[in-house]
Amino acid sequence: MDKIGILIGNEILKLRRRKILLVMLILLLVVCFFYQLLMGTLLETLSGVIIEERSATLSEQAELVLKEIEKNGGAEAENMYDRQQWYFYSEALADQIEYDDWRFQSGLLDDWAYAAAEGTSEATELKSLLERNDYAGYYRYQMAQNDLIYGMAGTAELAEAANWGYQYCLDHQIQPLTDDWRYLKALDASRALYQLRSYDLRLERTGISTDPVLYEETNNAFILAKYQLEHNVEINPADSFGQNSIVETALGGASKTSRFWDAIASTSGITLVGLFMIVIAGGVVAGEFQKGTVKFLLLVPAKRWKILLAKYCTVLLTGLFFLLVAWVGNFLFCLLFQGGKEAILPALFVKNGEVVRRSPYLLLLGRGLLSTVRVVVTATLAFAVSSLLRNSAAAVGVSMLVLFGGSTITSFLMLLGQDWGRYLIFANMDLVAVQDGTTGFAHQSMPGAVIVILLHMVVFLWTAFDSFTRREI
Amino acid sequence: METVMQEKQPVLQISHLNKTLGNRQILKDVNLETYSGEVFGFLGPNGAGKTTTIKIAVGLLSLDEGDISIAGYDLRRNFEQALEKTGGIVENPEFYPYLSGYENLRIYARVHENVTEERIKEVLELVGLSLRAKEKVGRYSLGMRQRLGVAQAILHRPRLLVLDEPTNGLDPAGTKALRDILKRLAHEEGLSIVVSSHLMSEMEMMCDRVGIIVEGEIRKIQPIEEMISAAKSGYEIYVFHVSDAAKAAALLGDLPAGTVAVADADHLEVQIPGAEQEATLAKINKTILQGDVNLYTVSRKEDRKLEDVFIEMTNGQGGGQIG
Ligand SMILES: Nc1ncnc2c1ncn2[C@@H]1O[C@H](COP(=O)(O)OP(=O)(O)OP(=O)(O)O)[C@@H](O)[C@H]1O
Ligand SMILES: [Mg+2]
Repeated sequence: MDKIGILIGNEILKLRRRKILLVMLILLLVVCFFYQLLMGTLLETLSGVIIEERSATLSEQAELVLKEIEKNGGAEAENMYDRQQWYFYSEALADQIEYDDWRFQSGLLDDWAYAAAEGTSEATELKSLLERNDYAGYYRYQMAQNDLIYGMAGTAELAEAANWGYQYCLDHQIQPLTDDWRYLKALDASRALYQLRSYDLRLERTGISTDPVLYEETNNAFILAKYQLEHNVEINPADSFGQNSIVETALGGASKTSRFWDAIASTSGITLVGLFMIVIAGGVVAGEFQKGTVKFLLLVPAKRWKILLAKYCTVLLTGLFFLLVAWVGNFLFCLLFQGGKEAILPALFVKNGEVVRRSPYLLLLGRGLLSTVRVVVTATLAFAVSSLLRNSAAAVGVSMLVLFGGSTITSFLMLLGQDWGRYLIFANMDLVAVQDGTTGFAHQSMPGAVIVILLHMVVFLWTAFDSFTRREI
Repeated sequence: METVMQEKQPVLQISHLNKTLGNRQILKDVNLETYSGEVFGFLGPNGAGKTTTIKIAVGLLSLDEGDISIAGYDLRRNFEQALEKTGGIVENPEFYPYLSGYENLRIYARVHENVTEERIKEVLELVGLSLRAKEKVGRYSLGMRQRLGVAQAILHRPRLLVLDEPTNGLDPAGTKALRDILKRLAHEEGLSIVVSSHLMSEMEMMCDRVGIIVEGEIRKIQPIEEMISAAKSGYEIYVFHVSDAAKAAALLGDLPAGTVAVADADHLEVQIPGAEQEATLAKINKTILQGDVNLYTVSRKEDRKLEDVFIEMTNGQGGGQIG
């Protein structure tokens, strides 16, 4: 055993003296740096520019557009769209509505313009809401509308759920501003509740039950949103880790996640580490043959499998080291560009109907561990290829071809709806995606992915060890 | 002295070794034993199977049939113990070019038991690389790499040292130094050394015993003295520098002095039997001088006989060619 330790030490010694390692390290940090720069400052600046430009020009734009539409007849224009535009902008001017006004952000102005252009009956009421700048009235109007619609559809139970958000905002004097997270969160909660009620209704009326996991997750989403509103918690780092992905996909949640934790939870650096692994694993065996040093390597009192195992361990250790650098680098650069304000927020979950707090760093750790799987599988594949070939460039090339070719084929299968594609290793390597449910194969599950990965690993390693120990030098 | 040693256990024992690569049988029933305290010359023309035998002995190639043991350890069953006792260079010594000579040795030393920093410095000194040990091997010349190879091979004080054409790339001084090192290691420290080569002259200068392999078969294993005396088969050739070679040859015609040949206008070559060599020489000198031919010098012709024997032995089978 200690012989393997010595051999690993030798491999690390050799690897450390290769310039390529340093180049990779620097490249990795540079990528992390620029990714965080983009996530942290550039995106903020960009969106800031857009908002500023827009809010400065609503009334100006109104004048321009109105002048244009006047030629087509103004309120009497032939074109429905022109009329709509006319009402929209003339009312905005009349009531001095800018982009940051709730009447614009809630969509009330749009609704009115549409109603007025169509000449529907709601127009008068909407106009009075606009003129009175009465957001409570807006909520009441929306609720009345829901009551009416669901009442006619014979699903009055749903109206209450659909109105939950409006009622909440009304009770807590929250304006319908899309700038205000509480308004958005209330709508999210409302959406989750609506979903739950419709599951109940479906069961009651048709006997079709809902997947209990989906039901529970939806319920949790509602509990969580309500909790956040009541405890004034704007940002939940757990959202950035795809913890509520099922519900998110089902509901199309509108409230925002933490930009800080989004930036940290991203696995963008991992692809690069996978690439590095191909290069390192590709050279680690085939390179010895290429340089002829394999004779030096093997002319020692250690069985071949030990020598190969030491190499494999060294490749894996290098991969783990790179991953650590990527995660830590990501984190530090994120702190640098975004500050540590959100770094200390707790992550909120729902467990057995109760909201529990947990450190987001546990989530980060979990994600970090999951991300190692992809790197390990990539490295193992490249290692197996490397121990079959005598040229490291060829080994790197073949591994790249297999990986990218395989991934492309898997994506095609996914697009073609061929569900058996999920049995390919390429659909399973990224356990983070499997966990987040973003691989694109519907029936994919964590245990299934683990089994597929293990089977492939056995084949890769068996290939590597069998060929290396039998090889004639 | 040799008889005493040969009663000991062999350090390297190869018995009934067969090896097929592709669909050619490269080695045919090779049997070989080498002992502590001797330099064994493994001689054969290109492609005879020297490197193949050596590779099998150090575990780089598998063996199809037969048994190999090193210092009493069976190569297959106790691979690690056997290799702990083995040092070697196979074909060209290859090192990691991005590491220094010293670092390459250190990597090698770590896998062996009891190799200290001092030992590394000691062997570097021994092969004359101390001054350039910190330099990257990528910048070494072929001869320097060869020296480093020797240093690596003896680093862990093996009992068996296998060197495949170790003088390849060495300058004359280096070759001589290596010969001296190997002789000392064998004769004073009791290593068993196997040196392969296709140059008989080189073998002659450092080996105690020689085994000749041709087309994968061992043809002959013999102590070098026996081989030399057998090659001479009892006579030596002397060259007579005279004023008139033809006339001198005619004069010597009646003498029972062995074959006489005229080399050119003023040189005469005469085979003289080992027994009563001085008397015969004196007689020839007298005869030439009395026959009124000037005799300038008499010298023994440089001995090329061993090489000739080797060539005969290997060429006779029509297989190998001498490089
Ligand atoms: N991998 C291989 N596959 C098939 N034949 C091989 C292989 N390696 C060597 N041979 C053949 O085995 C024979 C012996 O080769 P080997 O290298 O042992 O010769 P050698 O005695 O070391 O010659 P040299 O003096 O040229 O080094 C040669 O005919 C060679 O062509
Ligand atoms: Mg050879």
